[in-house]
Amino acid sequence: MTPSSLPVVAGDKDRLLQEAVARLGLSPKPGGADADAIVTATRRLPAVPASYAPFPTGTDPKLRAALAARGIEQLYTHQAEAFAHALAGRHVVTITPTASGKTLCYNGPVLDAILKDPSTRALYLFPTKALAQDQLAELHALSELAIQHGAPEIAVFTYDGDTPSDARRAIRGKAHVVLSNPDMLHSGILPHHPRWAKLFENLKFVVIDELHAYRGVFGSHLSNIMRRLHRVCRHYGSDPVFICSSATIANPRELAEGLTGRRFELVDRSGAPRGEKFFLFVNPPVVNAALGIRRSYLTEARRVALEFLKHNLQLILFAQSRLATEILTTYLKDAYQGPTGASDAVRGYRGGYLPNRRREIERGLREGAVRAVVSTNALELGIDIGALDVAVMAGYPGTIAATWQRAGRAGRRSTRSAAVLVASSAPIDQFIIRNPSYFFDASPEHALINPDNLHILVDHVKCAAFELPFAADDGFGQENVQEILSVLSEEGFVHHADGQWNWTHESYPADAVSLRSVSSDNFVVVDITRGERVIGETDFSSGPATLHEKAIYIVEGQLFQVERLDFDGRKAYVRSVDCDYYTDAITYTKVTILDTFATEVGGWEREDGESSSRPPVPDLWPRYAKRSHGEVHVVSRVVGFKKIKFYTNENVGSGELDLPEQQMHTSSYWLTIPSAVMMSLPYGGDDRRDGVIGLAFAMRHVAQLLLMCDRHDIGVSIDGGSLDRSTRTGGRGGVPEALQAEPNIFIYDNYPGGIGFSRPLFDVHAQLLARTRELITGCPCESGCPSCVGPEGNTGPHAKVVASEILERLLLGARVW
Amino acid sequence: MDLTSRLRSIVRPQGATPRELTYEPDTGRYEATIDLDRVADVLGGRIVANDFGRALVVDRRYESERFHGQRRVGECAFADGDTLRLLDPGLPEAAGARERTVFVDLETTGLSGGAGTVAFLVGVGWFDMGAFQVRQFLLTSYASERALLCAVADAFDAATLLVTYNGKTFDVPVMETRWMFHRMRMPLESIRHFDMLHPARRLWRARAGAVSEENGGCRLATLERVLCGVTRAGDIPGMDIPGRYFQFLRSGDARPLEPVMEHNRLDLISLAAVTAHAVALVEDGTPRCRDAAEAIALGKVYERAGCAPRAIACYEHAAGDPSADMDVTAEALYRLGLRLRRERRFIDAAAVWRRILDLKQGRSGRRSALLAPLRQFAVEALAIHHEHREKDYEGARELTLRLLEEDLGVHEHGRHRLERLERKIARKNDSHLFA
Repeated sequence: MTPSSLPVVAGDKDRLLQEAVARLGLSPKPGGADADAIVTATRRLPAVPASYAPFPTGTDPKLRAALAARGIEQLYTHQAEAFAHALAGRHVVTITPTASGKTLCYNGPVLDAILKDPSTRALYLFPTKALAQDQLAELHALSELAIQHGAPEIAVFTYDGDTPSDARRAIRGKAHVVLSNPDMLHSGILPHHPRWAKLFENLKFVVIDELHAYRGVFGSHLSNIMRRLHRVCRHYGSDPVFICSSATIANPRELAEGLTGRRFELVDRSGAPRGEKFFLFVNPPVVNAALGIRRSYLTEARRVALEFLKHNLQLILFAQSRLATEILTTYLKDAYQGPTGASDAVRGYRGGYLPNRRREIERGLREGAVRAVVSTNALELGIDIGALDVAVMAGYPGTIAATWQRAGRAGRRSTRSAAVLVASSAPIDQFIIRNPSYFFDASPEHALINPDNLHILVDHVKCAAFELPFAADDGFGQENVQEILSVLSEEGFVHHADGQWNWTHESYPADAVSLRSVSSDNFVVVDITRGERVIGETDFSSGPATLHEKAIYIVEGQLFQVERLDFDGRKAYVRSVDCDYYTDAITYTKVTILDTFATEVGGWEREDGESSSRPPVPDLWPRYAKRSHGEVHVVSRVVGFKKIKFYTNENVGSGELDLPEQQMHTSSYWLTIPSAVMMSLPYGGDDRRDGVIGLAFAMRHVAQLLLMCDRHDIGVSIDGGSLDRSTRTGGRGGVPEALQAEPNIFIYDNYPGGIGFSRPLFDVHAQLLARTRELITGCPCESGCPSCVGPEGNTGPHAKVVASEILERLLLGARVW
Repeated sequence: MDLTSRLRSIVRPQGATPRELTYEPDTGRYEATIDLDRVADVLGGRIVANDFGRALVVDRRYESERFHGQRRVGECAFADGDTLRLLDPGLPEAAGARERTVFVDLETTGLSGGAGTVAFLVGVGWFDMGAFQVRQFLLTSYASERALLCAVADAFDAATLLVTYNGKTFDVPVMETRWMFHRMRMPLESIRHFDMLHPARRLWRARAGAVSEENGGCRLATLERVLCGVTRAGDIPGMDIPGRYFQFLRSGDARPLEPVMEHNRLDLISLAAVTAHAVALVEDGTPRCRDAAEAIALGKVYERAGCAPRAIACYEHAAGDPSADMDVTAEALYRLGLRLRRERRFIDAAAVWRRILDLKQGRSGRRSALLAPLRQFAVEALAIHHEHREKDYEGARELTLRLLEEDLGVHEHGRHRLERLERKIARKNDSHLFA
């Protein structure tokens, strides 16, 4: 469907929207480079009418009156379903698109229970403090209305790092609803549970909003915090019902069950109405076909945003980083002053802004005074900014789920809206933009957690022992907790006597755990430009790569150069600089296989793990590739760095470094390329090596796509046998000199102990290879670019062709050779 | 690598320095059995039984004639609970006729608080016929905590007043956490609580702070030395105490606990002695003051309690002390003047401002940093007094000129005052002419 064939409906806004959409494909193209479409996909998502259901019987009349006062006389079907499950004491997870009234799914049953029995208590967990503040206002408004209809007061408080200490005692005693976050529950509430006895004795509901945010390390921590919560609840004789809400992910029920250890009901059909929405993919035009260089996606995003702004449409523009947010805000402010008399028509929004300023911007959006907001993912979650006309995404947000979430920021219930994705030149973006059906038709990602990562588990067993003694038959997750306690007792943390393990240590273990990383060890960044000032921190494992001497450290758009890294003292001293490049570390990584859990040649499995008689991609399955997963030992060492110019990404210099090596045990997936395949390649050793490196480069990005993880969550390495230290400056950064006869490409979990990516990657091995082939062969560049196998200058002249020939052989087998 | 080895490498990462243990770690599944009777024997205690099990109690009596430092134990008692309200105006009035004061001090397994911090030794003390009676409750195993908590709760039943050192922040919340942990009744909520730390800081922070900065420069161990002349021999440092207890739990050997028990007992007597010292000071006033600085601190305490006459007496006393430093004398006069002015004794206050102006720099050989700003303040206060109370505009002008001449940080409103005074003088002269 092309934009011009869209039916024109009445309404000025609709007309303006369609005009703007039609103009998006008209980007001024550089001469001759018109082979490549600018708008690569246009989808029209039809309007959906509301479907309603009555309130469950027995809903408190005061609650119904309060909701009626807000114009809510009946519920959407998904709200009624969730309400009924919670009332019946069943744990429920609801998948809800943005602006579908998800808060009523939990506020309904919770307020109903409190009105019926004022001793009822509920605990709400939000991933950020701002979301808790938002919900506080919502609950206050609802309880005010209920009071007008004869309800007693319902006490709702936030409890987080900002709560003044004199208010805390009152909150512990009288709050019916406590709005908090996982960090506060972990270090402020659970370790002090006796002071919260009243809450825990009467805890009927635990609400976890934005469930999809708890994946990877954060989710693995939360799962353990929930294990601790269950222990404390059992101590006080309560067994709360969990009500969770999540954005669209592939496995909401599995995630909810993994996080809480409870069986869940799933509500996944929304009854909320939706207006029609256009969804467009925009690929910035190629400006240098040979090098595969496209026009900057920020410039293109600016052009797209301006088309809508000029048509007087209100929009949100999502950027991928704080830096990009500030750049785009500047661009838009320069280009668009708004209607006469309107000041501040364009605003930036991101974490780090003061709360007052953020509230002001949110209000401006709701009231319409702010015409455009440029935001990081800070506005992706459920902050109330009303419904806008258009959402523009500068760069693929990384996951299908987050993309829908951001797109959902635009769209009123009755009128049309638009969402536009502007691709950057990153491989993932280019893959998505050229394969629209991957995004539109495939299921969204799985959110993965590994609560039994030993590093994380041990930390939480300590916290749990601090909170309540462990009995000799107590469990805690999958691993044998008695074994863990026994090792902890060797170090004096706990002591076993009278059939129980007690905490026998002076420390407060929760303080030593950071929920955002596996190990709490970190580097502190100290700015010494004027005096000494701590400006940031970096977890231990990424410290050497980002804080080595002469590295450029970027915080909020400001550039700093590292002058000295005190490795033992875990401090990096930086000074403010003005330069036009950033640095990228060169890391040598050596992976050794410790234990192979499974290995298979030519097999495939469906994503759900069941074997299937049909390959996932017909006629395209890795008959000849060997896949494995297991435990590995990773030794990495930062040996140098490159200076890369902003915007052009030119390599403008390099340096050598001598830093201590880092080691970890983790889990890994690996692909083994058979020697027959390698031997059949009509290229020399160097080119073969380049091809394998290029293949690994592309696979890494596709793996990231399939795993719904961040770039730093996985690492990639190739074994070559010549990674000895004497050659550390040889070759091209981090690359073995020669390959083994049967090279392995490892994609490992970049966290000690692993975070659960390897087995899923093993399972989708066939898809991984097929998608990688699509990425490489679909890329219009001639011989490698940053969007597929890496820039030619880095990867070698034949990397692209060799990588794709390897894949042809693995996937198509003898037909090719 | 098997699970245990992997766990070991996580709990103690390779290359990490071994933790310095002040106690023997467990080796394997070794578990000491704690023989309650033997522990009672070693520590000289007895076993009491209640609904929850058995608890170990150690009683010690310090007879009235016995010395604690330079002071007799009997002199550490104080009769009047109301005097404490001078030291802490927030303390409620005693309800009944007979006050029963109980001193409390805990030894705990850590200082962080929270569910994992346990009070393994609860020490209470009270005066009985002039003698100081100490009763200590020792937790002999975590499993028997409820029996201990029940016995401790019983010990508080007759109490009407709790005296602690930092108990508002630490000891009482820790005890409450323990009772709440076990869902038991909490006797402390209804008992009045006097925390000696805060008055001690007001009275002696400067003196104790010179010795140690801990506890806001006011450690109990420092106060007992400087106020009561107590020196402890072989006292166990506070930071070693949890380790001793953990070692006892693992070995069953109670001998290493004896110094902990003694440390706790000495803390209790010292708490009583320091409290008695403070009570005597506020009761007797200036005659008890060691020096002018203490008199000023005492004056401030009286002021907080709303006893202006006593505060004025203290400041007078301090200001009149010829051996005091210039800084101390100046501060005493400054506070005295302010207090008098608040009492609306303007003439007396003006006299004090003049006394500040009469102070000469360098009397004690050291330059006083306080003197210059205080002189400036006094000149200004005096000028205001002359202008607004006495209507003596010439006098006020003279003072203002002096302020400007001395260049004591000359400021705008000095000049403004001067202009205003000139106008007022002119008008007064005019009205004389026409009268």
